[in-house]
Amino acid sequence: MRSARLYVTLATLALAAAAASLAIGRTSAGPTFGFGGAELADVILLEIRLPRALLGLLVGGTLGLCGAALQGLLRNPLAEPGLLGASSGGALGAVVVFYFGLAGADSLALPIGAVTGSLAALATLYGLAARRGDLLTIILAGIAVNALAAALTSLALNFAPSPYAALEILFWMLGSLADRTLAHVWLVLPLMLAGWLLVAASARGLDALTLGGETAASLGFDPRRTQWLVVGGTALAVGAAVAVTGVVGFVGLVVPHLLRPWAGFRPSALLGPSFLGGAALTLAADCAIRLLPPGPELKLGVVTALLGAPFFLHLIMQPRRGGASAA
Amino acid sequence: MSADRELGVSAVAVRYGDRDALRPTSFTVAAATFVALVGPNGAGKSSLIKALAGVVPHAGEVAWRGRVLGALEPRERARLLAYLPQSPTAHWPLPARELIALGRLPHRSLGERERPEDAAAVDWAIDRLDLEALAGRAVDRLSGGERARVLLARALAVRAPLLLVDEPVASLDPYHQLHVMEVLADYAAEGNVVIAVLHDLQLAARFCARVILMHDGAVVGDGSPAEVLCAAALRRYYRVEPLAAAHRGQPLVVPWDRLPQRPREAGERE
Repeated sequence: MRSARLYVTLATLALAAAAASLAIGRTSAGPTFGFGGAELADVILLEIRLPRALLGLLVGGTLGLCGAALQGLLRNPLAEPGLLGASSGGALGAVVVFYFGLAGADSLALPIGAVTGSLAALATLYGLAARRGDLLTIILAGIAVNALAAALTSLALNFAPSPYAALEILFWMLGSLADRTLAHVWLVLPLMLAGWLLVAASARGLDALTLGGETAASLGFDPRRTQWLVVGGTALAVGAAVAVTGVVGFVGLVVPHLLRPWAGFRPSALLGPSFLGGAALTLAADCAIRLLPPGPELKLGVVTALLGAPFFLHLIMQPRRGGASAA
Repeated sequence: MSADRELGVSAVAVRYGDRDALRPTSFTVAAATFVALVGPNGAGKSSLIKALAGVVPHAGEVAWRGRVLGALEPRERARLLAYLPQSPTAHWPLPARELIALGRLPHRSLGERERPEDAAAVDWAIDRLDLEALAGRAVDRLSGGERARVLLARALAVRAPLLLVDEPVASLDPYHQLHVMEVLADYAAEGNVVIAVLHDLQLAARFCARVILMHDGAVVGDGSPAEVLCAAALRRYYRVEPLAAAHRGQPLVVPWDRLPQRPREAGERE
């Protein structure tokens, strides 16, 4: 069974990456190697590395899943939460919360701000592009939404209370899994779960959309319902992800694209593998960062953007498969 | 509505903005009927078939055996009718068989695997349209005509008692045009209602027991091919002069000469 093999392979990869994330540290090769005794090792493992690994799993999975769902919804392999403004909208929402000094370690304000921003961005995009629904309109609307979110974020930076606050916001926006706690995990988990469930509920509607909106409607799947499940689910889950890690781009673009042939090009069959693949890729990238020589830590979002942007360019240049019409 | 009238259409109308694409239209169709929906470009054929399929907002009611389709739960409605749009698309290069199997979506619930009856319906559709050799190929690796037959098989695989197809033979060669018309006629003969938008009047006259002629958003002719596709109607609505001929005792409907543009009547649409 092809799909069972795909799931087992990706789950193994994701678990291996999670295990590596627990075992690798910037300052010591294994959990302390006996220095400081078992107590310190426990502290490092449970309070520093475990949250990092869990968040890598959750955030990476979210980005992969939502990327696959958005690509299915828009019937286009170039769709991605970041390109459509969900991430930058989320970042704007979070920055607004930062700006007004509402963010605390356990406060719900940051995730609520990020989810609201993400939802507003996707709703704006949807309002701009839903009627035409073609690739060009969606990409252009995404550019517009991203530009608007970036402009408003710059405005907040411009008027930041102190240079230190501006720097804090800037570094946070680069996207990182470092120095997070289990409190962050519990904070975002319910939002992400809700988002995943909404996206998962769209699975059969996404399959039906392969045949176009009208045929999907005739098969009993109202395209508007599918659209709102995906857009709402993505806003919740990606907004929550942005709230804890900042912007980690391109995972949602690269992972579904690479896995699509292995999933037999079926949108619903791509969702689960993209979740596992996104988790594995994000954790692997985060491990790689910690293996780099000491110095200022390279942020995860910077690495994914550096690797993802050329990949995106490659996708645009490449003649695409799909889009078959009988006319 | 009597029991043998399977499809009931009452006062169905479609507006796009301030333009009437379809004026209020009513008719009934009995079981086991293959209906050709004909008319010049812009007559409202596609609007009518989309309204019947419930994929465009419309006024009026479409009922199947007395049950209003618009009031049914979407899955249940989707099991009663199958719709093939005018330019069907496949956005992802699925293998042909998997694409055809999408026609079984209304019959399965979330997470349910393909059941034996689903596989049987897909195999049946593949067999009817002679697609065995193409079943494993990705749809973007097929020719336009092959793809059109695969997408028709997708609609057939629903096994719906009401089959609505918009120009099913437009991209096919003569051999496959005849084949698809035979398949649709056989499907109707099994007790189903098949409504097909057709531009080839000869195929419509030959295979369909009933022809509905549309012009300017309204039904202007409804009956047997001989009644509806008469020379006077072709001149008036299609502005063509037919060739008068017969083959093996059947009248031929062959548009032969274009008539000069006649002055527009008052209130006539562009």
